Amino acid sequence: MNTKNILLKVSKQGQLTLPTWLQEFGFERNKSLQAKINEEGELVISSKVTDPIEELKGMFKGAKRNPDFDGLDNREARQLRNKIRYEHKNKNIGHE
Amino acid sequence: MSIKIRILDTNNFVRFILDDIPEQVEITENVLKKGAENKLHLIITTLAIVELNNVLLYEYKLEKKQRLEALKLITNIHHLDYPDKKDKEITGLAITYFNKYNLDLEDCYNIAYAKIRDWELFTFDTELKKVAKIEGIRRMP
Repeated sequence: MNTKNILLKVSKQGQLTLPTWLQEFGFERNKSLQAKINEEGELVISSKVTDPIEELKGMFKGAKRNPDFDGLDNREARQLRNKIRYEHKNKNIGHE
Repeated sequence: MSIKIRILDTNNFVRFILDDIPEQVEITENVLKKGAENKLHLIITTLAIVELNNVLLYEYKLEKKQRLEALKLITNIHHLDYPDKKDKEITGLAITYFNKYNLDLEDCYNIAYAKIRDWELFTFDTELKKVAKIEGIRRMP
């Protein structure tokens, strides 16, 4: 039987430090998983399951719009965003 | 019966995040939930992700930390697909670079594409070149 050992580091507070390759699956280091030893002496790893859709909904409700964009339609707003961005970008390529 | 494929616009997410036009928020939420129930196949493009970041930055002046939080949540929507199968991985890496370096998200995408596809990066941008060097990406000139 082939086996693979995975080193999991658990802090005194029970926080789990994930190997880098596991973080690539969307788990965030020290955030989404908790580890503890239960009464039977078993290592229990639990995750806080959150719904990204619920978290996204209204997460910046009430954010004030930059008045420079007032009265612009989608295309005009896009042009203004690009203009601002390229004024900044041009500095990095020597076109001040 | 085949599932309909629906591509999402930047604006869907802007309204959903700001929760400022209730009827559009409700429609977007329903579409996202249908995606979760496999009733729709939902697609987001890397362009929409970049544009969302720019709208939140330039139009709503949100901090980078806040924008990163929103971008990460979008990439955590498991049923949200990308036009190219590599785009999800590239987006994840671009967001990692965006978190790590003081670069625009567009530039982070270029580095992520170069890294994952093993492409050479061609740029005159001095900041971009510095980061590409740190990340071991072949570059020119």
